[in-house]
Amino acid sequence: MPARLWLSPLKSKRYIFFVHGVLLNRCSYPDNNCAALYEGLGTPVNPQDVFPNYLTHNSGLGIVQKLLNSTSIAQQYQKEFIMFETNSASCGGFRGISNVYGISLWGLDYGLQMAYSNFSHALFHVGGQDVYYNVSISSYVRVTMILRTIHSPSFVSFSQNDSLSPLLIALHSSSDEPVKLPPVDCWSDLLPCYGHARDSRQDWLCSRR
Amino acid sequence: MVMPEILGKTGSARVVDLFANSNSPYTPSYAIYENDQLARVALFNYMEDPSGANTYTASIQVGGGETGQPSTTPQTVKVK
Repeated sequence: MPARLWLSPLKSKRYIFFVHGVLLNRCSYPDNNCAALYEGLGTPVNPQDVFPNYLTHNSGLGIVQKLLNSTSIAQQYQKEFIMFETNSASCGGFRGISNVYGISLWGLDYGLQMAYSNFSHALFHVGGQDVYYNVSISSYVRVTMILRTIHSPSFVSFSQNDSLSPLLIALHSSSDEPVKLPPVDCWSDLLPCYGHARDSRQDWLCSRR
Repeated sequence: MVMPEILGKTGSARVVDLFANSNSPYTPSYAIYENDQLARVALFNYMEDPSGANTYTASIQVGGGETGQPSTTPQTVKVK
């Protein structure tokens, strides 16, 4: 995520959220197990082949590396910087990696590395027998519907060729209560979004791919 | 469950990567400061080796080096 994208429209806001991942996948995961779940995504990863990638300090270092400029900018403007959905592997994790002791070490090391790298919060995405997204279902539905509506070309126009062209969407809550920003799951490659909340408004910065 | 123990309850925790053991990727460690005082050290070992060949002994020194403070070693530590 180019650090320059943070500069102009967001520096007056209270928070900066980082939603979209920078590595292989849609979210901030170092790997994914999507090929094991969905057809057409190639050969499924053998978890034991990639387990060593997690059992090293370099994993957490590598994940935050590309975001150090961004956290530095957040510090400069005295904003919080939040790592959104993250954990060991997307699409439900790897059996034999994501549910074993070794990944706890990885998670602690990665989490402390984020703390050292000036992240304010991180949202570790968890599951159990199945994957679940967002504790507050109603908030998720509301955000999904609003974003899909506004995303329609009849509402907003933006360059389709410039993947870095930001689209600023303003969402307003119906009350004056501060809006608790629900985590936006990485459900769309087409609309990775960064959002922030101030008072009763939620402003989303979405980058169209 | 472990992270809150590492970061403590004051809300003032600041974390530094010590790049310990010559920046070994397998034995990272962090120092956690609360209210500007060293509160805890988190020591990791990614290697599971029943032979004990990759077991290490951590030597903890507070101050010294370039800190401008005298070097001290904690008299006692509580290990979790």
